[in-house]
This record gives sequence, C-alpha cells and structure tokens, in this order.
Amino acid sequence: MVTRRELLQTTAAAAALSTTLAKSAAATSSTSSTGAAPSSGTGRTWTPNGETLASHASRGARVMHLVAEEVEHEFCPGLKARCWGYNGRTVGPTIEVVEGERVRIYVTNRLPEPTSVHWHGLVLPNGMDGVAGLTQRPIQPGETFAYEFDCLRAGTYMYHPHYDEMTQMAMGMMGMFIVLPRRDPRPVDLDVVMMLSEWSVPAGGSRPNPLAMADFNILTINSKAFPGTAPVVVKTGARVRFRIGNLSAMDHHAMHLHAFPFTVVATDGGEVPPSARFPEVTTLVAVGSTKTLEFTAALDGDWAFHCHMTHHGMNQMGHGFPSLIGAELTQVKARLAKQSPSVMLMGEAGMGGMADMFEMEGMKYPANSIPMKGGKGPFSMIEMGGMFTVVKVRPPAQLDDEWYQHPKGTVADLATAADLAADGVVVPATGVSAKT
Amino acid sequence: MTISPSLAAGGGTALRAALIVAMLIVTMANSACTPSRQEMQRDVNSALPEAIARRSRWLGADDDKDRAVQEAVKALLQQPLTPDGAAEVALVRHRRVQLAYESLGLAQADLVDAGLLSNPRLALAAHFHQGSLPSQQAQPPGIAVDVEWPFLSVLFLAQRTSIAEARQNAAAARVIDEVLATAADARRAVVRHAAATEVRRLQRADVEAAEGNLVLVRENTRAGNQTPLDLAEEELAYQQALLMAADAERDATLTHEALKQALGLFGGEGDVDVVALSSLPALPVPDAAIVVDPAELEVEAIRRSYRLIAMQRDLDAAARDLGYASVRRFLPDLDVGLVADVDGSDVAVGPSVGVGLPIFNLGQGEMLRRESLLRRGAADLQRAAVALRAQARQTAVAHELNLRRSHQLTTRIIPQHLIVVDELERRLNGMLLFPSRLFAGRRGFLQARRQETEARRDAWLTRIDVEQLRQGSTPFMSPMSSMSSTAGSQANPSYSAQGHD
Ligand SMILES: [Cu+2]
Repeated sequence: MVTRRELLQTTAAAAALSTTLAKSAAATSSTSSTGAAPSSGTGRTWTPNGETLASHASRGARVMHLVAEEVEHEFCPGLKARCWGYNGRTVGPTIEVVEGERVRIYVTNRLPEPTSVHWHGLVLPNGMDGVAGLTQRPIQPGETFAYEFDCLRAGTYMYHPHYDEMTQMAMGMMGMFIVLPRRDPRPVDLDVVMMLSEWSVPAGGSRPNPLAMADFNILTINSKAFPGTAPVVVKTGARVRFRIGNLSAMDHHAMHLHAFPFTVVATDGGEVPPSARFPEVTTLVAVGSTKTLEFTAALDGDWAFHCHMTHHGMNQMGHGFPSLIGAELTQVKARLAKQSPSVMLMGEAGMGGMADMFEMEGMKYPANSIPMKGGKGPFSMIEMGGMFTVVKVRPPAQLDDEWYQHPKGTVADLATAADLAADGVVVPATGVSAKT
Repeated sequence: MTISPSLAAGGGTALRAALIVAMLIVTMANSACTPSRQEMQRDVNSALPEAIARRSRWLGADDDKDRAVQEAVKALLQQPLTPDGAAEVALVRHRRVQLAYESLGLAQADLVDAGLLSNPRLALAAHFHQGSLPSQQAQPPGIAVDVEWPFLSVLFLAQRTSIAEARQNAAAARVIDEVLATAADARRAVVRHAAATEVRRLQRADVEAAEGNLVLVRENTRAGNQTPLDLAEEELAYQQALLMAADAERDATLTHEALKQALGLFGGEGDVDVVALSSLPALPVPDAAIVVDPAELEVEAIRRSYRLIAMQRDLDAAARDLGYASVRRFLPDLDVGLVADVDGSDVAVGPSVGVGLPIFNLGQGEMLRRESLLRRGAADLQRAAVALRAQARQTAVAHELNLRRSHQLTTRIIPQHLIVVDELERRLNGMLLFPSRLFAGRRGFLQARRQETEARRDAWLTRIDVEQLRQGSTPFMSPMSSMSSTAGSQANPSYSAQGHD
C-alpha cells in the first residue's frame, strides 16, 4: 500500500515544472477561451468555448476546487437551457496538471441530489476513484469532499459524476482532465481540448431531458452546437493536436477532418506505439473514451471538422416522420395557407434552404430553439449544426476569424459553355426524370 | 209541457204590467255591455312587454294599422333577422296568435249570449165551432194567441254573465301566454338556425382541413414517402369529416325550415336569413350576480304564468257554473206569458204559466259532470303548476351551467387551441413536425369552435327560457332592434380576428 509520504516523494520530481504552471494559472484565476486560440507553443492546452480550472500549490499538491451546480447555458445564440455543470459552466473547466503532480481537488455539491466525481482513465488509489456506493459515500448536497491522488501518467482523461450518471451527464456534468507530459515528445503549436456530448432539449423547452435514449437533438463540442462553436485558428504549417473525449449518453462520434490526414497518437489508455499508428481522416471516438490525434495544417483555408454521422451535424430539427421529397405540394400549400397563412411548407425538393428560411423576417419558430439554424458562411448559409467547427489555417500575419480569401480561380463555380465543349461534356437536357 | 189556460177578461192591466217588465228586462240585458276587439286587444297588450306589445295584433280590428304592421314585417324580412325581429314577424304572421285571439272572440260571443234574455214565444191557435164549416160562413172561427217567455232566465242573467266573463278572462290570459310563447319560439328558432349555420360553416372548414391533409398524404404516398396504409387512414378521416359536414348541412336546412314554421312563413317569403350567432350581445360572465336563483325563478314563474292564470280562471268559471247548476236544478222551467182568446167579438185576455215538472231528471247528471269538470280542472292546474316549478328550476340550473360551459369554451379552451395551433405552426416552420399535425391541430380548433358555438346556442336558448318564464319582464333581452345595432361592437370575440376559420 502506498503511503501518503511515499506519494509525496514520487511527486517531488514534478515540483519545479508544476510551480511554473501553478503560478501562471493562479495569476489569471482561470484561462477562458472562446475565440481564437492562444499563441502557439506554450505547452498548455486550449479548450475552445471553455476554460481551464484555476489551481494553486499548497501543502505539496496542486489544489483545485470544483463546484457542482445548476448553470444557465447557451448552446448557440437562440437556445439557452438550465443545465448542470461545474463552476458555473458546462462543459466543466479543463483540469490541467503535469505528469507526476499530486492533486487535491475539492468538490462542493450544490446540486439538489448527491453526486461524486470519477477521474476517468486516471490510475489512482481505489478510494479516490469516485464511484458512489462502491468506493465512497455519495457527496450529499451542501457537502464538500476532497480527492487527493498523484497524476502518474501523462495523457488525455476526463472527469464526470459516478452517481445518477445518466441524469448528471445528460445534464452536462463533464470535463476534460489533461496530464501534460513533463517533456512533450512531439511539441505542437496548438493543443486543442474537445469534449463531445449529446443532449435532448425539446424545441421550445429549456432543460435537457436525461430520459432521452435515442432522440438527441443537440450535439455539441465543449457543450456548444454550431454555429455556437468557436473556430480553431492556426498558422500555415502548424503542428496541431486534438484531444477529443466523448461522454455522450448513447453515441460514438466519427470525427472527420477535412484536408489533413491525422494520426491517433494516444487514447486514454496511453500512447499508441508508433508502429501501430496509421493515417486517417475520420476516427471513431467511442463513448467513454478519448483519442488524441495530431496533424500538420499544411494548407490555408477554412476546413471543416465534424462528426460524420449526418444527424449529428443538425440542430433541433424534427426526426421520425415522413419526408416530403418528391411530393407535389402545390395544392397542399394552397390548402394549408387557408388554414394557417403564417406557415411555409417546404421539403419537397430536399431540406436545403431551411437555414435561409430561419433567417427570414417574420417567420415564426418555437421560442428558445434552433430548429434549422445553420451558420452564415462567406457564400451562403452553412447548412450544418451540431458537432461541427471550422479549422482556419492562415499565414501567420492573418490569424483572425475572417473568412478565407480564396485566390482567384480556386473556387468551384459555374462551368462555362466553352469549357464544357472543349472537354466534350454534354449536359443532359432533363435530369433524373429522363431515366425513369 | 206548457199549460196555457184561458183567463177571464180583465187582464188588460196585467198585460200592461207584463209589457213594462219585459221592456225593463230587455233594456237591462242590452245595457250589459261587452268590450270591443280593440278594447280586448288593448287589455291583452297592457300585460305584455313593450317590444312584444307593439307587434301583437288581433288582425281585422283595424285595417289601416294592420296594413302598417304588415309593411313593417316585410321590411324586417329584407334583412338578416335578429331574435327579436323574428318575434315581431311571428306575432304578425304566425296564425297561432290569431287562433288565440279568435278563441277570445268566441269567449266574447259567449259573454254576449250570456247577457241576452231568452226570446219570448208566440203561439197562435185557431178553433172552429162544431157543425159550421168555413164554407158555411155561419160563425167565424175563434183565435187564441199565446205569448210565453222563460221567466227564470232573468233571475240567472247575472250568474250566466259572470261565468262567461270568467271564461273570457281565461281566454284573454291564453292569448297573452300564446303571444309570449310565439315570440319565444321565434327567438329560439333564430338562435338554433344561427348556430346551425355557424356549425355548417365550421364543418365546411373542417372538411377543407381534412381534405388538405388527404391531398398531402396522397401526394406524399405518390412520391413514395408514405404508404397505402397512411393513405387509407387519411381517406377514412376525410370521409368522416364529410359525414359530419353532411350532418351539419342537414341540421342547417332543418333549422331553417323550423324557423320558417316558427315565423309562420311559407313559399318564397320563407328564404329568410338570420344574423350571425356571434353578432348577438356577449353573454354575461357567469358570476354570482347574474346567475338565476332556481327558487326565485320558480316563484316568479308560478306568479307570472298566464297559462296558470288562464287555468285558474277556467276553474273559477267551472266553480261558478257548478254553483249555478246546483241552484238551477231545483227550480222548474217556468214560462210566463199572456194568452189572448178571440172568439168572434169576444176577446179574453189572461196570464199564462208553463212549468216543467222535475220528476225524472233532477239534474243529477249535470251536477256530476260539473263537479267532475271542476275537480279535473283543479287537478290539471296542480299538475301544470308542479310541471312549471320543475321547469323553472331546471331552466335556472341549465342556464347557469350553459353560461359556464360557454364561458369556459370562450375564455379558456378556444384560446388554448389558438396557442396549440400557433405552436404547431412554429414547429412546422422549423421542420419539427409533419404537416399532418398542423392540419389535425386546425381540425381540433374547429371542433372546439363548434363546441363553443353549440354552448353559446344552448346558453341563449336557456336565457330565452328564463325570459319566457319571467314573462318577458327580464332586462336580458331589451328591445332586440336596439341590440342588433350594437351587437357588432359588443360581441366580436377577440379570437375571431385571428382564428382564420
Ligand atoms: Cu456523431
């Protein structure tokens, strides 16, 4: 059995590095980051739309304080909900420590029910594992517990309740736990932390439903749904690391990066041996796991990064009823207009254009909802929602949020008749119907 | 049996005396004056509320006024009828009012009869002397002149008149009751038809919504997005909507026919239009102040019912008739008269008396009949009073419940349906639901409107019942013509503007 004295000795080596970290963190109380990434190469992580938990050194450990509580959260402009989180937010603040450091984390419960915190993926004494009933008694409302353990292994981990898990995680209680290596074997310019999760908030409602098992309608990165997600802005040629965790209730997420092949270098189980790594553009982040991937942002542009499950790239639109594609709706629309002049029936030609409709003056929608909300793009509405963000790669002088300025002639556009003729391409007179 | 013995001469004085008595009696009888039609109509109208009185007429009493009233009714029929306009039309056109007035006419005739004395009877007899045939011209035949008069009719003149008066009073009360019932029935018929017209409009809108959904599912099934099962179910729902609409069409036609009947119209004149139910004044909020107390209405109805008053007066007449008969039965038929016997130059004048002998028929049957009539009338009056009490209490309770029902539908259920429809519209715009849900939401709203229309109709019907029980004295329905002109501003419920129905 490891004594407290022994634990303190093993962590002594990390003291020098951790002091630096503690000072910088304590000075700012916490680092908030919603917009552009911090300047590259700091050795620290960056949580888009999130923040890093404040800490300070005390009595041989890094001390932090998590307060579990109800929070008012905005998933995206137009949709707010009463969620549960930590320190006034969901996703909870990212815990950032250095390999070998000892942490003492106080957890105060301001929820209406007991809770506990499980340090997901970390190797620690059993009594610190946070499984209510199994390894500790639950933290009752109003109580403050202390967790203390050594962070022996560098890596990407998570924290979440292990009491009434279904409810508390569905309500937003989760955060990332990063143990930085004492010496990064592959230093990166930007080290990005992303927690994936899914929610069920009825359009017009304002509280997540933990009882949902399949009908999740808000898919988030760090508890934000596109267009609420902050873009990742990096300089051309930057080495980028994404640390992605998934605490969704029921879904894995096939995270896909445009343009840049990446390599999964670690999971929450540890480093992937170099011999076992392989290039990918999409990787499945399973529920209850993390994946750390690295890539070089070789090309300038605005590059999408999103879950490839298409329903996870939508917001609160309806599911589970027939589509109208291909239906002749002229008569239906006339009749509907007589019943309800203020509605606009669409969908017979596909569901594109909904986002534009959402922006229309005078169109009414359920209050506090983002049914078809897309994001404004440089060419048109970006008809995506949910688990979607943009990686903006720019020359070092242009590191801003502006849309990418494409060099002339590099954007797909209308083919000219001359080009078509020159290449012998004949466009059929009619479309699909000609074949049927 | 008449005995007319010849009396000796010296009856000249008696003849003079008898003639004087007869003259007196005739004068007395003729002076027992009976009211004219106009007077009786005035009496009837004085018991009626003003709005009804000005159209309640015994036609034929005054041709000029009759013509003016008929013109006014024609003008009323040119525009959509209000409940009170309909009452005015019915009072002039419906024959049941004239029927009641002519029953009053009959009672009046009976009263005139009761005030007249029986006519004297003149008998002439000729007698020929034996052996002298007319051709022989020996002795002229004798002539007997007998004037007889049922004397006792004089004694019972006052009694018979009072019985006839009681019956006439009963007839007058029946006219009032009939006039009020005619007006109330006409109002009810307008309310029923206005409601049925509104329901028909709502069911037509419901068919449109059902049809919209059917077309949606049909086109979507054709497009391959829905199945024959979906389409079959929608077709059924549409057919059910058609069925409900057909019922509503039938009801509107039937209530229109019933309205024509209640107004006494026929032929081309019967194509009358009625005002919209929603243009009637707003129903009062069913708070404690407006609710009719069942016990109070019961007392009021019993006190004011002209039907009961008529029955009481009939009972009164029957009681008098019984009293008359019980006295009359013991007095024999008595005819008095003068007999003049002319035989040649010999003239003999003397009084005559005829007496019916009460030997076989002592009026037992007449007495039994009158006693039974009296008891039957009393039983009928009690039965009617008990029924009226029950009706009054039921009406008061139904009135309150109907008001509450209408109020809940108007202030709660309809606004909630509008919220539901609005939220469905929002969700359809957000592609959060299939359009069928919105069509269904609209149909739910239209069905609630139908419920509300029917509740409003029922509330109005019970208000008319209350008014009739109070004999039109309630201020609920102040003159209708003034109501209809202000109805628009009073009774345009806020939802109708945004209801899109
Ligand atoms: Cu996904």
